[in-house]
Amino acid sequence: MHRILLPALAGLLAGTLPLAAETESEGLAAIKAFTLEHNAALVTEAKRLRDLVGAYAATIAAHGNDYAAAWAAEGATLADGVRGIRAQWLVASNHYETIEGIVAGIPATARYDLILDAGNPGTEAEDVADYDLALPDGTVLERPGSLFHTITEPLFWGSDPGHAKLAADLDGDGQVGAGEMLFDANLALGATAGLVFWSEALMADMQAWEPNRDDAFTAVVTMTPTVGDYFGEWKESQFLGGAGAAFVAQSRLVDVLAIMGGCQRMYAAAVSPVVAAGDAALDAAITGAFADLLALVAETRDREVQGERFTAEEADALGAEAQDIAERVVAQVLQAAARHGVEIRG
Amino acid sequence: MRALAALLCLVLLALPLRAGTPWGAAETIRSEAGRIERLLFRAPSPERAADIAARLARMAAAWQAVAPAFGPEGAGVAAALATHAESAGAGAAPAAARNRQLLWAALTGAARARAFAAIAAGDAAAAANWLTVRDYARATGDAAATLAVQALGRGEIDAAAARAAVEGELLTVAASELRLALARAAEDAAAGHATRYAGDLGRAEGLVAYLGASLADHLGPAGMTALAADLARAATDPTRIAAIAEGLAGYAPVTLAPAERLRRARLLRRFAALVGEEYRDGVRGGRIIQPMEYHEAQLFRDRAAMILADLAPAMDAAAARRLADLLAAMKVTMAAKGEGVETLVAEALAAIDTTFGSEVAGAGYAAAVEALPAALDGLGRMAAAGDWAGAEARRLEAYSFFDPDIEQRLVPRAPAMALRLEARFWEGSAGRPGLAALVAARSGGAALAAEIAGIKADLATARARIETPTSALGSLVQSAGIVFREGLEAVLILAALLAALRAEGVAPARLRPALGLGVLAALAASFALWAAARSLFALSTLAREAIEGGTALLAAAVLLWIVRGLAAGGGHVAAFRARLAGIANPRTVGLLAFLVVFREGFETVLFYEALLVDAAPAPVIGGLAAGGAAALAAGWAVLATGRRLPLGLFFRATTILLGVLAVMLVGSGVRGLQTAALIGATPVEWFPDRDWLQLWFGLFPVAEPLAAQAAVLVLMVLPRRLRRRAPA
Repeated sequence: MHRILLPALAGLLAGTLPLAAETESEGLAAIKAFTLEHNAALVTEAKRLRDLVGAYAATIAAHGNDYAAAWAAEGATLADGVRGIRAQWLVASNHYETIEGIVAGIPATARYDLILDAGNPGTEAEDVADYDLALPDGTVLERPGSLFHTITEPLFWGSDPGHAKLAADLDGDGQVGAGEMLFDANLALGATAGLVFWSEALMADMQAWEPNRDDAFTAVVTMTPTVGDYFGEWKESQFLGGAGAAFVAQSRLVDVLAIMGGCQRMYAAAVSPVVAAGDAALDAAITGAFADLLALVAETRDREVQGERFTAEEADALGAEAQDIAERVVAQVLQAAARHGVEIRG
Repeated sequence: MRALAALLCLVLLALPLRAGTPWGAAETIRSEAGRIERLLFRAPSPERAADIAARLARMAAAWQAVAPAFGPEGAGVAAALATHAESAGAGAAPAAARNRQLLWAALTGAARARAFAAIAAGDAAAAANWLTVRDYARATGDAAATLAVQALGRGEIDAAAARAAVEGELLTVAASELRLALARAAEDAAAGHATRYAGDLGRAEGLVAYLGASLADHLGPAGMTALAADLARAATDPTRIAAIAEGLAGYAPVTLAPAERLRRARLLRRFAALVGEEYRDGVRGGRIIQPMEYHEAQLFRDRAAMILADLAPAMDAAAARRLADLLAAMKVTMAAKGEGVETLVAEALAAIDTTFGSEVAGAGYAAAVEALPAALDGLGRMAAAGDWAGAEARRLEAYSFFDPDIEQRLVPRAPAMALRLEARFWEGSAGRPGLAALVAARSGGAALAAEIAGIKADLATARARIETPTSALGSLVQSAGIVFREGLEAVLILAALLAALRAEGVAPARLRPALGLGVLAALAASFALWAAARSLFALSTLAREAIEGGTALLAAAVLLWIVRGLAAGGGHVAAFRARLAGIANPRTVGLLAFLVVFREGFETVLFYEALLVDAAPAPVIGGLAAGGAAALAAGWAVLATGRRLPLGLFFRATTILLGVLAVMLVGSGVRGLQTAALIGATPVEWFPDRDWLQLWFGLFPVAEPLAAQAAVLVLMVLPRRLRRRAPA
């Protein structure tokens, strides 16, 4: 797993390196190019994920959709398949996480963040992922929630028992541990096809997006404060003894790192040239605050990877500190927005 | 991990050089002190000690390079830096957390003094630089200080005004942060978080020092002494925190300007409402099902409490206390993941609405003009994404901002403009489809973009009309126009009916009490509905349109019935009179009076409410009297004419008049149901699109109301024709 995780993390952190831009227009263009690059990678990796799931489903189907019979006959193939699907899910998800701060912050593309990654099912009152998911067997799931975290992550990692078809000793250690199961191939096929479809739809809208100052400021102002929410999820996640069904594949801190990296990237590339032109001290302060924020998250993630445990007080302190820095960044960006007459939307 | 560490180093190397300037040094000190506090949570080790020592050295170097620039206040910073270094170097986490906050307070205090000196010297650039060393409003997005310094630099305001704005914001933020620090201290004490508690107390101590003279003015010397003693005792006795918070409850460093009060009250309402929404999504059955929503509910509650504290000094004390209690109860319930948060939120929202009025309830004009363009943009985005259900929802949302908040203010000033703007949200015209038509036809692209742009442009024109100050004469004319326009139809219907009945020998005296009762009941019902919609229940835009349209159609039906009775004629005179008396009895006349007055009554009350927002009461009342008198005069003219004209001619004239009025009522009624989205609307090209036809005669170039009006005409005319053709 570390062979997959570490390059993925390194890639994420590389994504957090600010893009220095000479001018606002260059910066905006660079943001769009960066987002499209990762969006294209997301599409490619989502297709690979769909293909892997297709192979898994074909194995099950070859046994008349009898999971027990399939496991009895081709257990090793299925176990490899599940491992490969999980690894591929991480690759695809992390490409999206790298651009999530940008996609979710731009009003024209924000709905894709709900569909792909952050939206609630239609049973909730707000932030609903507004799409229906058609499955190969003809079932249509109405507004089922985000594809990555509501559907596929709990599905592939077995934290949603409703879609686990058969308990199975995937790692061959003689025991069936948590998350060891064969999942519903029908749902997996539909959901991964959905990932491909909506990733491509995002790509089309992102290509059509005309980068502008209001969107850049809005993205930073609306997405940066979410760091406190993500820390809240991290505290509640299984890594700190919580019992959440989502975020079992990897720590929520990986998401935080990527999302805040996206915010920092947007600031450095597209907003900083505007702020610096009128107030270099403010620009330096914001740039420094972003660096503080990213360092806090990266250090925390680093310690988590090394197996350190956090006390409740320290976890609270880290979350509160991250929230304080983020709110300071937002307030500072709002000062610049007021000076330049920028409209913050959303 | 090596890759991760290397990339982290790259991130740090990519940072601009922040030290070198006083404000850059302050940021370095702030950042390093924060990192040291985080390091002190970890287990002691030689690596930790070395890291802390290196960071302390960096802080000291940054300070040494710029200390003189901080002037006399720099001595306080140097002392705080030394104290912090001592505690951090010793690995004393709670003491270092406290001293970190005192150090930041010393830095911000010194920077404030330099900023004021720069403002006094007219050096806006230097003032702006020094003002980066400060705390910002975290809940309200205040930028008054930044804008004041910018205005100073442009020569738009003088130094005194700039200083007042800057000082006001800095003190307001500090007072808000002080309350937050005390709230956090209470929570951390309860959780047994010693280091965080020490940091919270240090923050409070530092902010008390920062607020200095302003706080002393409020508390007096004895109060300041007690506060200092309580803060000292709180280090070992957390129960003192509540006493400190209580003592600061009525403290406001500056009086909020009306616009700022309104803005904060709106934010308070928004945050309070969000608490309910987020908690509902986050917690179910005593379990956190969505941690992010749960966290946001808590965050929004905390922000609402901060804003309430800003507003409280200028609020009614009992209302402020009640809201504070409700927010406190929310916090307790949410911490226990309990039930009942939505009830508390509903009560808080009602209290906010009662205290601050409709402008805060999200239904105000200012909120509407702010939100409408965003809703239109959302419509455009939804349509572009092919989400037509979402686009329709956004259209209705946008329309709900227009009607009533903008429409009510626009109608008294430019009624035709209001009518046209309203149509653009719906079917538009045959040549230029409106938003409803475009969304229904799933027609996005240039046409939708053009319509959205057109509405925005019309909105800008409407705002210019609305926001142009109104003279006393203008208010009088507008007021008279409202009551004349809205009342004329009812007056004419009732007068013509009475005249026609009198001409037919039905004694009007028998009907007058019922008529008066109907009018009075309608007026009372209009005011009652208005009051209930403000305080008891929410009456949506579409529901109001439906009530208005439905009442108009009902009135038209009653009127039509009576007119048909009048027009029936034929046969024995005595039998006709008996039949007429049966139809035009006190009950039907009273009902008709109620319907025709109530139909316009509620909306007229809303128009007057809007007019009184920016017009003096005297000319409005004068206009009301003049317009009412004019409408009554028209009614009297109808009655008086009856005395002069030959009976037969007059009877026919009043019957025709009543028929025309019934046609108008039907047109308005169907139109009302269309704007309530209960029936469709099909624009037609062949009918003239004239403001006066729509405003005064209810004749719209729309197929459905025209068809209904034609049907009414047929119903009135056909029986007469048939009777003429029938053999005697």
